[in-house]
Amino acid sequence: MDDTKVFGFWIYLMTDLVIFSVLFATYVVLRNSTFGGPSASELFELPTVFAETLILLTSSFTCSLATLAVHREQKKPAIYWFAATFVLGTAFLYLEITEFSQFISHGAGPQRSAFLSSFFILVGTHGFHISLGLLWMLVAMFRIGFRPFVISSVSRIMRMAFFWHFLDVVWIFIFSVVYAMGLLL
Amino acid sequence: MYNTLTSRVIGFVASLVLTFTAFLLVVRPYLFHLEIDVVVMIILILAVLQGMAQAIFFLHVLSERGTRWNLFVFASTISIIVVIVVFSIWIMNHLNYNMMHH
Repeated sequence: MDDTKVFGFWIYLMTDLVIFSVLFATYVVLRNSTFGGPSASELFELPTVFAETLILLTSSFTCSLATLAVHREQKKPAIYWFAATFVLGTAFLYLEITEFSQFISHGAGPQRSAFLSSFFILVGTHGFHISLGLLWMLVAMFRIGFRPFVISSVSRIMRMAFFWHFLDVVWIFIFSVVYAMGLLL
Repeated sequence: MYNTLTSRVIGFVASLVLTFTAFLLVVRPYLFHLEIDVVVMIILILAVLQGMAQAIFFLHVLSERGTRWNLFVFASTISIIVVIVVFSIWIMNHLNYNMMHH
């Protein structure tokens, strides 16, 4: 394995974690500052969040199956599992964009209150990461399809999978801190 | 043992169980006759367990040998995060309180 590159990528992920934690702290501080607008419990719908969470968890699983195929140097299963992950990731992104546009069309856009600004920036940053992850996955699938497996390309694919699992964990925290706490408190 | 289908399936089942438990607590918060703050605490602990399950079963962090530098970086990051998140919430809550007429 290309240890230095994996370690470097790990450091990048940790700095990304700091970005998310700053956004989490901002959200938690501002979550009750609704300025007369809709509050978290009025806005959030559990079925959507449940679907999003299940989709992302399953995509994390299919991604891990893809890396298993890469380890065993089986090209076709690797591409199929990454394709499944890609479809699930796109479905997640679609649900998130639908949710955002529904909020905005109901007058609950990011400019409505401090609560909504911090909500959109936190969840939106995660969605942006997901889009980048999907793009990276597309590139990885083409590389698997058209190039032979060498150590450097395996390491590259592993870093991409690493990124995907990381985003899944961040989403679990978004579910817990934003949606669960919003509906309970 | 780590790079097997079994470890991935175990990880997936574990993540599903943790998620379903968390959602059950949101839908029926009074199922176990707990205070709402305790329920929120449990959901946050479930999230941490979820992260650990993903790290162990999908990323196989326990199987990695060699230097422990990534663990060191992780520990530093966690301490930075604790300082940022806990102290921000603490300071801002007290700030709000002290700015009120009472």
